[in-house]
Amino acid sequence: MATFKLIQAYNLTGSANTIVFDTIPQTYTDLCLYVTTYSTRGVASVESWQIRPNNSISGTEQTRIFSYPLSSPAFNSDGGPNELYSSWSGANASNFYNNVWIYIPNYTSTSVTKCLMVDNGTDNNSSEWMVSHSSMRTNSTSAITSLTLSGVSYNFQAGSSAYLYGISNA
Amino acid sequence: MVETMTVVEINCETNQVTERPYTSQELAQYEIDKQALEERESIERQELAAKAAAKASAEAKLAALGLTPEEIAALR
Repeated sequence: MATFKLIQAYNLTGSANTIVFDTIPQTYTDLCLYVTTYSTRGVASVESWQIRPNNSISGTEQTRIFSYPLSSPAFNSDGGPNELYSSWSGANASNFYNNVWIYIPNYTSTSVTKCLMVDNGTDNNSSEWMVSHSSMRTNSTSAITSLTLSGVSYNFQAGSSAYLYGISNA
Repeated sequence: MVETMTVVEINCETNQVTERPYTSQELAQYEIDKQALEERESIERQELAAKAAAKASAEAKLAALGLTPEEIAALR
């Protein structure tokens, strides 16, 4: 029977651009990360943040499907690793939460590259929202021992939270 | 107001949480990533606007040919 165990929880009480989960135990089968980011930016923009396994995005590839108010559902196959998650902050959205969950199977392997599967949804209002699904592949076979979450165009604000879980097959 | 660039490091074994400012190297990489993102966002917005304009133009031409809004919607 699979188990789902909280490894670390962190709730921001101030502003920070980067959150690092370091020295991740290598005793689980998979990892799952729930992140809620809070923004007060309040301008019409796609607000993005990166996740960097072992603090590296070198050679990663990403495919994503996304939709937000100004677009029909769109597809983006991206060889560049710059923007991994994003949420739409419309002109009328000065306070909103962006919710993401990320599943990382087989993170302890030292023989295969890793994939990250991501679902993203903005908790906002009826006119300002964004949803996306994306998958990312690293080009490293190293076991994942750290996860770095880093805002690209804004800081994580107080009220943001991140929960890292370990999943075991037995 | 310029926000302080802060890193929060959480050691999953010891539960120790450390907050520190960005190093100069991290700050430089942040600026590179931010600029690349903004450039790509600009391109994506232009592409989306061009698609929307082409769609509106096509629908107007179909309407001029006598198609009803329901018939145009059925083509989507």
